[in-house]
Amino acid sequence: MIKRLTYLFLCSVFVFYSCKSGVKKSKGEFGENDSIKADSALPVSKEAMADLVQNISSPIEMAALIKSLGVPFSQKYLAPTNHLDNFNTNTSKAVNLGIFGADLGYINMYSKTSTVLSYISAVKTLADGINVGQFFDFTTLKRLATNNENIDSLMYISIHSFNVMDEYLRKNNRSNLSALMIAGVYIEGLYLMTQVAKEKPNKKLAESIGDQKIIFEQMLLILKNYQKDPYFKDFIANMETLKKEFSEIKITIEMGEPKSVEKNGMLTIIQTSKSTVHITDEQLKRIISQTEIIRNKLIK
Amino acid sequence: MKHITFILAIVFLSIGYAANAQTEAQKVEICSGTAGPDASYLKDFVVDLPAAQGDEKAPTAKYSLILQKDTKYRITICTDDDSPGKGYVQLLDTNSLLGSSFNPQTGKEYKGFDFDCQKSSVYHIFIQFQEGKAGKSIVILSFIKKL
Repeated sequence: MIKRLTYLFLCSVFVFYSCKSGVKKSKGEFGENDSIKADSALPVSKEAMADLVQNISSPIEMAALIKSLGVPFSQKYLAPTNHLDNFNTNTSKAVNLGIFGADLGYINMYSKTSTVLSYISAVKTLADGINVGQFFDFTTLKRLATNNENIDSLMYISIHSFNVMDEYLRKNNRSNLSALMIAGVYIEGLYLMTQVAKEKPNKKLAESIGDQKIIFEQMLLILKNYQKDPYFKDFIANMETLKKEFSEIKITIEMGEPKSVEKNGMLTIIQTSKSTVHITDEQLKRIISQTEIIRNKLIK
Repeated sequence: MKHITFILAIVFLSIGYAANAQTEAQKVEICSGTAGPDASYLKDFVVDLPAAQGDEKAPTAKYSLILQKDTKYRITICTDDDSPGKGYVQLLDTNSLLGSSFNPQTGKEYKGFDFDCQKSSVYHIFIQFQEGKAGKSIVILSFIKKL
């Protein structure tokens, strides 16, 4: 009896730790040491960091904007997936995880399931590389993509997996990698927008690019928290040139009281405060060029 | 006998933990589904708050997030069946209230609300439970469309 119970106990312990596989790992378990191991000595506290980075960059909003303008899908904007071996540090893996995540959002928005597989595989490889691959449901995503079924689920699982990876990194004193992953998503989103604007100039798109100034400032604030790390230092230096371009863009705000409208039991809040982005063709051209330089450096 | 009871307790706790871990992910997925077929999931906020003690203010979970101009978002709340308090969510711009899924003056409740954003900025989501009770809720931020 005791033997059986001991066996049962060992099995349960195994189940317990298997299910918790992604919950907590000691620092020594990571294949490669992060350049910044703990968040305790950061200028901005871990709590404040967590507060800053919610929804800072989403591939959905960027891809939806491009699609809403009637711009067709183009594979040439995407980062190539054939040299993942070049990303041999945790920092480069994290930033490119974000870049491929943004590309995945763009592909999903256009329901290009034939293209999606190589991006899902790239995300899985990089996620495994920084020990967060257990949160990326590769098997389900591969099945959905292969069978060309349920694009909504494909989109949900992709975004949710990124959120879980991000949360895990932040909760486990690896928020430097979370910051890079988010920056990767942001830069690739900006790159896609600017490449479309370069080929198909559009006033609304130009204003949306100028409007990125708001998000850019938050992004830079997060990255600066880790500026002692050489990878971040270099990244920030490149971002500073883009900051200079963004700083010239003027955004005016007209204040107003929000309005509530109830229709069929659904409440809608309409914001009457409105911002207007003033961006010249020259400013846009410089942002396009600088974004291209930064993004292409990151994917090298 | 004591050993057996201890071992059994560990076994059930372990299985219970694993089952619970699965449930939370499922709950997020279910809550995301309630946002509607036109909604694309962006972010979830899972909260588990204690009850207010004495005269203190209702405990509030606060999150900051960036919302973008010319975008329609949906904010949906799902409260756990076994939650003592009913959760509600508020959206704020700096310090002014933009919208809420619960109106304490009329007692009217909504499962969420849409927000037509006209200004890219940092916004705040506050999640509380009615009458300062303890509670568990999930709030989903979804993208609806570009305006």
